[in-house]
Order: sequence, then structure tokens, then C-alpha cells
Amino acid sequence: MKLARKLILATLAGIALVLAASAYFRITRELELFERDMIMDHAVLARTLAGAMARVWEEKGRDEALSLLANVSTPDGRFRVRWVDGEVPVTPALSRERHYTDVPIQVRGQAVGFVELSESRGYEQAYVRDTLVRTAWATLAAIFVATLLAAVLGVTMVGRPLAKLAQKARSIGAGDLSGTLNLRQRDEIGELAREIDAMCGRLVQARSSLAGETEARLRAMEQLRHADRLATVGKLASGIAHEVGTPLGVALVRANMISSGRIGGEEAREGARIIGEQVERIARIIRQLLDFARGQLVRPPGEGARREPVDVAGLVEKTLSLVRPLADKRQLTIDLHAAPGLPKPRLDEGQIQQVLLNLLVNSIYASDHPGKVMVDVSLVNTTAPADLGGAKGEYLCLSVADQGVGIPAEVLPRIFEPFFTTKGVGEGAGLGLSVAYGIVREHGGWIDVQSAAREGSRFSIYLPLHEAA
Amino acid sequence: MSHETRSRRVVIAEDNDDMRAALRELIESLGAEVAEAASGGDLIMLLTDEKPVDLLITDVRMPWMTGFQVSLAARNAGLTMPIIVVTAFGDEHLRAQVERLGSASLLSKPFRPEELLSLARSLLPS
Repeated sequence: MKLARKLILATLAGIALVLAASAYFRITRELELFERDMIMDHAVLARTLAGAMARVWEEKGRDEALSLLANVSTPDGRFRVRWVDGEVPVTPALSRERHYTDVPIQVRGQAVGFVELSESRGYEQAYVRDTLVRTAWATLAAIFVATLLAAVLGVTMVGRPLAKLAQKARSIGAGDLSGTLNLRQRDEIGELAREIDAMCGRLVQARSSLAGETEARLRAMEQLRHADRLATVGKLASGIAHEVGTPLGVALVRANMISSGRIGGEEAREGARIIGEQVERIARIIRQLLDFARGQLVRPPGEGARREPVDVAGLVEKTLSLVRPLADKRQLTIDLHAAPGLPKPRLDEGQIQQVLLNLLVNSIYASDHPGKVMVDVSLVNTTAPADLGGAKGEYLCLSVADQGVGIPAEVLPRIFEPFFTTKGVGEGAGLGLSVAYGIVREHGGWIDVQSAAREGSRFSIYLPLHEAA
Repeated sequence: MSHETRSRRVVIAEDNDDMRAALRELIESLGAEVAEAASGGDLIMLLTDEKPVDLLITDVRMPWMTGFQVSLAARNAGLTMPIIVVTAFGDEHLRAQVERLGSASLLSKPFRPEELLSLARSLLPS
């Protein structure tokens, strides 16, 4: 409304100026006319009076002539006539209040005196006053009407539409693109509103296509991660088959002994209990693997990040139980060192398990057997890489080290590329590390690799303790 | 040799057909009765039917369950027959595990027929 107020004030000043100027010109013109009328009236009157007085003076004498003037003056003093003996003064009497005209009277060719006519200018002054008052009233009325009109028009044509535009701009700023302004005005504001509506339409379109693309990308990424999980399951499977073999053997032996009648009664009942126990153990192993393969802990595509405070040491232990059979089979021991009292950062547990499994399986495959794989969970003070902002602070570090062949220096920079593999066709999709890298990056962390030929490799995952905003 | 007891029963577990046939020939030369298993599952069936087993000769690598796992299960179920575990990789890791089975011997491939024969002869009850 500030703009409208300024416009109104300017308009009002203009109106007042025009009215004042018009009043001024009218007054000066009227005054001129008054003056001219007065001069002409006096001239006519003076000539008539002079003629009449001269004749009466000649015929009936001075007194008779002067009596003619007796009733000419008006009682209110507006118009006054006076006889003056002697010469007509060279300069006429000047006065603001009255207008003077001196008429010389000649009797038989000789000047005997003059008649002084004077008229009050009070009427003119009253007229000027009156005109000024009327003009003032008219100005006030004009200002009132103009203000009223400007207020009404300003509110309906400018104020309200502008308020709507401002509200719309605010909601667009807040990300709400729904609804249109639909102003029917055929002025600039209406045009602006239509442009904003059109812009919103285009933004909605752009946003939905962007949302579609994002969803497609998320789905593709989830498919990639699923493929990687299946590949990991494949690698774990031989170890799992071995792991399952032992309880399976125990259960089968007992079952056959019962069915062949070799044992019976109390012994058979004990056998059945052992069978149950062993089958339960098998089921637990398979369930763990299936949970991981299905990505049960992993969010479905399209859903927002599902992060909860995670006991990382516990997660590592849970994950180690999946890879232990494979490690046993390859005669590898896995040492876990977890610092006590570690904080619980908010993580997507399933995704971090996938990363960890990837690194563990890689280490197991890279190890010479018999050998050792070392897993460390600790809190470290370090600086993030430059592309992550280079912030210095505390990070949770999860490292997996092997005593294997190491990674050749020329290969090291490429190991996180998708589909990069040093294995032959069919031995691995080469997805694992790129997927691990993506997941860790999504958590605001990074992966560091140290490797020396024939000494082994150490992969360290650094995770921030607090989620980036 | 033929006077040695005919009632003795030996189970041979080996997934390679040629190897199994060779083993059978060797053991039969001792006058023992031979039963064959080609997988961990078959082996369990043989060990747990009503006929007693006097000696088990088993390969380690077999489909589904290893010979070692079956042996472990058999011991776990109270079967006490002597066992010869035949393996291609005679490593210390497995040797220690085999020792824990009790009355079991590890025979590393490749072996000479006499090695197996003498070992079997020593283990079979006379």
C-alpha cells in the first residue's frame, strides 16, 4: 500500500495545485473586470453629473447645483459624492479601499470646483474572500473524493492483486507450486499474474520430470546394489554350503538311525531333539543370507534415507558371522578389534553391511591361506578429503586389512570405477567397490585404500558421526 | 588272506567313479565286504542302516557334505568305527581336525596301494 499512498498523495497535490491556479486566475480576471466596470460607471456618472451641475449652476446658482449631490451618496458609504472647491488635483487620490474619480465643473468656461466620486472596494474584497473560501471547500471536496476513489480503486485494482502476487511468490519460494492466481485484470498486474501462473506450470512440469528422473536413477542404483548383493551371496554360497554341511550331517545321521530302528525310545527322542537343533541352525544360516540378498535391511527405492543410530561393532560382528564359513573354508581367521564405547552414528544399517561384506569378501579372496583378516572399528581424528569439504573432526573408522597379494599401483586409482575388474569374464561383475563407494559417499563419508604388493591391502571406511544437513 | 573274516564290512565314500572302483578292488582283496557311497548323503544312509560298519574310508571333497562333516556327525551319534580320511590336500589344519575325531587316520593323495592296504589291515578287526 505504500506505493498506492505515494500515488494518491501526488495526485492530491496535483489537484490542489490546479484548483489553486484556477482560483487565482479567476480572481485576478474578475478584479480586472470590476475595476474596468467601475471606471466606466464613474465616467458615465461623472459626465452626466457634470452636465447637470453646470446647467443648474448657470440657471439657479451654486447652492441649487450643490443640492443635486445631496442624495447621490449611498447611506452605507459604498458610493460617496463630495464637492470640492478649487482646481482638480494633478494626481488623483489613490487608495486601496476606495476608487476615486474627480470631475471638474466649469460654469461659463470657468472652473469652479470638482465633484469627487468615490466607491468602496469592500465589495471586491468580499468577492475575493468568498472565492477563496469556495475554492478551499472545492479543493477539500476534491481531495476527499479523490482519496476515496484512490483508496477503493487502489485496494481493488492494486492492493489486493499485489497482496495475492506477494502471497504466491512466498508460497513458490516455500516450494508450493499448486494453484493458480487466475487474476482477470487486463492490466500490467494481470499480465504479471498470468506470467507467474505460466511459470508455475512450467516449474511443476520440470519438477515432475525431475522427480521421475530421480526415481529412475534411484531404481537403477538399487538394482545395481541388488546385483552386487547377489554377487556377494554367490561368493558366500560355497562357504555357506560348507557351513550347512555339518549340522545337516548330524541331523541326517540321527534321522536315519531313528528311521532304521537302530535307536528307539528315549534315545530316539534325544535324536529328534538334536535334529531339531541342527535344522534350526541351518535355517538361521540360510535366513541371514536371504535377508542380506533380499536387502531386507535396505530401503526400497523411492523411499527416503532410513537411518537409525547403529551399533557399528555389533553390525560388524553380525556381518562376520556371514563370512566366517568362507574364511574357515579358506583357512583364514578374522580378528575383530572394536574400541569400547563407540558412538552410534545414524546409518542405513543394511547398506553399511553391504559395504562391509564387500570389503570382507574381497579381503578373503585376496588373502593367501592360511592367513588373517583384521577388522578394526575405532574413532579417529582426521581431515576429510577436499571434495568433501575438507572438514577436520572425529570420524568412525571401519577398516578391513588382509595379508594378501596387494593391489598393483597402476590399478589402485581405478578400483572404485563401476565394472572395473581384474578378474576374468564371469568371475565378478566388478560392481562391489563402486557400490561400496556410492553407499559410503551417500553417508557423507569416504573410503581410503592403502596397499603394498605382497604385503596386503587395507580398506578404511570413514563415516561422519553426524549426518550432514 | 582268504581265511580273514568275511563278515567285516567296509564303506568307501568317494565321488570320483574311477577312484571308487579302484578302492573297492583294493579292499575286496582283503576279503572284506564293500559298500559304496558317492556323496555325503549316500554315506550317511550307509552308516546309519542296521548293518554295522567296521571301517570307513572317505574322501573329503564330496557334493553336499564333506567326508569330514559326515565323520563328525557319525562320531557325534556314537558310531565308533575306525576312519581313514583321504584328502588331496594334506594340510595341518585338517590333520588336527581329523585327530580330534578319534581313531581316524589321514591319508594324503597320491598314495601307493600298499599304504592304504597296510593301514586298512591294521584297522580292521581280525
